[in-house]
Amino acid sequence: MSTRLADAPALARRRAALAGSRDPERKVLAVCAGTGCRAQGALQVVDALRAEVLAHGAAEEIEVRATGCLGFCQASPLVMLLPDGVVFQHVGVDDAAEIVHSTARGDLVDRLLCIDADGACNTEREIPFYRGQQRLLLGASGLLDPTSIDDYIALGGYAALVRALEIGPEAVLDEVKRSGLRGRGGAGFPTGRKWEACRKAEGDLKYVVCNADEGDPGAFMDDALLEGNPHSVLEGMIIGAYAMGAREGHVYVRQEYPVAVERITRAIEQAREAGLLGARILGSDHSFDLQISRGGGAFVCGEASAMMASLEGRRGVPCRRLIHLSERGLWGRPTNLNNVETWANVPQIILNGADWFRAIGTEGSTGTKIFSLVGKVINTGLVEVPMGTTLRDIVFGAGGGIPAGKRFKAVQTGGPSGGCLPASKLDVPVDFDTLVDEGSMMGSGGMIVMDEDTCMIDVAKYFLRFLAAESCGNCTSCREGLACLHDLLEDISEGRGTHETIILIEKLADTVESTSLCALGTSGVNPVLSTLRYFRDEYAAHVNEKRCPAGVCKALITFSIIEERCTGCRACALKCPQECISGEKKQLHTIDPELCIKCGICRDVCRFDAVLVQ
Amino acid sequence: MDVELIIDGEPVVAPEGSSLLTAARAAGRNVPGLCHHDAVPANASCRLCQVEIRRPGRDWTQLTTSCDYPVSAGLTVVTDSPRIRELRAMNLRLLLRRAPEAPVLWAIAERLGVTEPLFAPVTDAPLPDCILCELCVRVCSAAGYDALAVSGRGSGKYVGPAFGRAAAEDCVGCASCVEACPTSCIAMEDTATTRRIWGRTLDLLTCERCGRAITTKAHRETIDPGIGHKEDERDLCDACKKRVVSKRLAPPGR
Repeated sequence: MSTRLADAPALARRRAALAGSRDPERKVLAVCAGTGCRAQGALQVVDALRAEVLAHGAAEEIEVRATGCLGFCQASPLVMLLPDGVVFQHVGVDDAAEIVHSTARGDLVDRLLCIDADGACNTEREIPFYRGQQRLLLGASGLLDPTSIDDYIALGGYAALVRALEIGPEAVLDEVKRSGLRGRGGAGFPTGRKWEACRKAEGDLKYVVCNADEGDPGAFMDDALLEGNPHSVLEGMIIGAYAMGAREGHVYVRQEYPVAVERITRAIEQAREAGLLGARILGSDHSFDLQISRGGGAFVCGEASAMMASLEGRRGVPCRRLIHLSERGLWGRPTNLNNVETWANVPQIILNGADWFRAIGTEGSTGTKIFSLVGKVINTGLVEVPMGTTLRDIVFGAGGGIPAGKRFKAVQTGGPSGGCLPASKLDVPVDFDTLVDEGSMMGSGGMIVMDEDTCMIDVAKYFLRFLAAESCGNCTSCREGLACLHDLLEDISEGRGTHETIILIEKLADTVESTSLCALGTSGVNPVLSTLRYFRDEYAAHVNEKRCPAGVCKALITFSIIEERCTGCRACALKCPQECISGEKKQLHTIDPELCIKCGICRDVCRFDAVLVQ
Repeated sequence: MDVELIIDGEPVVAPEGSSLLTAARAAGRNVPGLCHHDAVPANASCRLCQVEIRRPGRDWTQLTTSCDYPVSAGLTVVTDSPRIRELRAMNLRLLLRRAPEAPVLWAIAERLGVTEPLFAPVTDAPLPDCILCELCVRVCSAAGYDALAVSGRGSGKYVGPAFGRAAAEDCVGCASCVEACPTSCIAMEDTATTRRIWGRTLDLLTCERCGRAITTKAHRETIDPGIGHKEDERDLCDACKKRVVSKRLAPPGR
C-alpha cells in the first residue's frame, strides 16, 4: 500500500517506478462501471471477464478493470479494449468468454462493435458519439481504476500540485484567473475572481468547499467525475486551497450517490496516507485536509447559502447574503465554493497553462463542458465538448439525432430551472452568455432532448412539479407560486384552460421571479416562460381548440382505429388493460371511448400504425 | 449609530443595520408584512414587505424585502408604487390559499384592492390557517425552549413539534407562539386548571388570592430562577401582586 511521499521528488520516483512496472502495451478490458452500466449488469460482466481471463491463463496479458463512467450510456454495458480504444457495446456475461479469447488472439468481437451507416466503427476515434468530443475531464476515466491512487499518479496525477507548490499561490491564482475558467455549477462566475476574493479576505481559518449536490433530473456529470476520477477533483481542491490559504475543506455530496461517496472517501484516505492531504503536503508549508459531508438530497442545498446552513447542521434553507461567501461563509469564515467539474479543471490549467486552456472554447466561456445528454436522442450519455459547440453538434453529432425517425422539437438546457429551446435555436453556440440571451441557461449541464411526441405543457408541468416539491418553502412566492403555476398548467392540460389562464400564468410567474429570494424561485419560472416564449401556439391549441398537438394530454385526446390500416390482428385487443377494444379476428377493431383510459398500449403494440391519437 | 436615509422622498434617521421595515414603519409608512417581529431574527417569508431601494452610487433600483434589509446611510427607498402593489397583491393572494378567512389577510387585501382569492385554498395543511411565517418557531427559540420546528419542504412544509411528533415535548405552555401568530391559528385551550397546547396538557398555576390562572407551572419553573420572587409574591397574579407590593411599600398608617 502507499507510503507517505516526503516531497515532490518522492512523488516523481513513485511515478517512475509505476511506469517501469507497467507495460503500456498490455491489453486492458476497461468495463464501464458507471451508474447506468452497473444497473445493466456491468459488475457481473467484470466478474465474468476476470474469471474467464484466469481460466484462460491470460492474467499476464490482459487486465480487466472496472472504471468510472465512459459516457456512452446508450451502449451500456460497455467495454473498452485499451490501448486501442475499441468499444464493445451491450456486453453481457455470456460474451465474456468470446471477448477474452478474441483479445488474447488479437482479434475483435465483430458482433459487439458499434455499427453506423458506414459500417462498423471500432474505436473511440471513429464512433460518432465520441468523435466530436474533447474529453479533457472524462478522458482519463477509462485509463484508471478510480479506487487506485497509483493509477492516477502513473497517469501524471498530482504533477499539477507539484507545479503549483513550485510557482507559489499568487502564480496559481493568476493562472486560474487568466484561464477564464467559469463556475461549472451553473452561474458561470469567474473562478479566479472568486478565489481572489477569498484569498484577500481576512481570516486565519478559511474553507474550500466542493459542491457535489448535483440534483437536476437526468444530470450525472458530477457523479461521473467523482466516481470515475475522484483524485482529479481532490487535486483541484488541494491546489485551490493552496492559492487561497485555506487549511480545511468539505465535499458536500448527496447521500443518493453512494458510489461517489465511497470513491471520494477512499481517495481522501489514500491522499492522506500518501501525504497529499494533511500537514505539510509534499514537504511544503501547505497544510490542508478535507472531510465529507453527506447531504440528505434536498435540491435546494445546491444553493450556496442553503449548503452552508446544511454544513453547519441547520435546515438547508437559503438566506439573504449581503456579504459574499468569500468573506463570510461557513461558520462565518471566508469560504470558497466551487462545483465538482470546476475543481476537476484546475489541475489541467495549472499543468498546461492558462493559454492552453483559453485556446479551448470561446472567448467568454473557455474550456470544455460536460453535458448529460438524455431524452429522445439516439445516443444518450455524457458528452464533453468545447464551449461554443452548437446545440446541433451535440444533439445530432454526438447524440446521433432523434430515434425512430421522429422530428426534433426542443432541447431543455440548464436543469429544471433552465429553458426549452426550439429547433430554430439549434445553431446557437452553447456557452454561458448565449444561452441566457436565448431565455435558457447553461446550468450544470443537463440537456434533455424532446421530439415531436413531447407536449411542451406537459414538460413545463413536470419541471414545475419538481421545483414546487423541492422549494424550501420559505418564500410565499416560491412555495405557493410554483405550486399554483403547476396547477394552472394542469388546468390547461386537462382542458379547463382559457386565455385568462395564460395571462394569469404570466402575471404569477412575474411575481415569483421578482419576489423570491434565491434562484430556485427566481429561475424556477423558466420552464413555463421559455415554453410560452417558443411554443405559444401549442398553449393556444390546448386553450382555444382543446387539442394537444403532441397527443400527450389525456383529457384532450381520443384513441381510435384507422379502418384502412387495421388488419384485425387482435394484438391491441389482447393487450388493452380495459378490454375495451372489440372486433373479430381479421375484422376492423373499434375502441370504446367510454372505457378507454388512454394508456397508449394499443398504439405501442400496433404494427400497422392503425391507432390514431388526436 | 444612526444614519440618514430617504424613505418615499423624506429624510429619515434610523440605526444603521436595523430592519428597513421597522424604520419605514417608524417613519409612518404603512408597509404590510406578517412574518416580522422586532424581537426575533427576520425570516422574510411572507414577501409582502417588498420595497424598491437604490443604493448610493448606483443608478439602478432593486426590489427587496424590507424586513431583512439592513438600514444604511444614503439608501433611497420607495415603499409604495403600482408595481410594488401589484407584487404584494399577488403574494397576498398566494397567502390566502393558506388562510382564506384570516381577517389580518383581508385587511391587507382591502388596502391592495384585492377582493377575491383567485387560487384554490390548500385543504390538507396539518395546521389550518397557518401561513408558514415561522414566527412561532422563532419566538419559541428566542425564549429558549426550541420546542417547535419547521419540517418538510415545498407545499408540504409545516410547523409544529419537531420530527412530526404528536406533542412538543419541550413546550412549557408559555403561549408566546400564540401571542406572536399573525393568523391566530395555534390552538390553545385553558380549563380552570390545565392548558392544552401543541399536544401537551400542562397544569396551570393559579393565583393564591384570586384564583386566576397566571401561567403554567412548567413555564414558571423555567423562569423562576432568573426572576427572584419574594416568597410571598411567588404565586400571585399580576394584579394581586401589585396590591401586595403596594401595601408593603406604603408608608405606615396609610
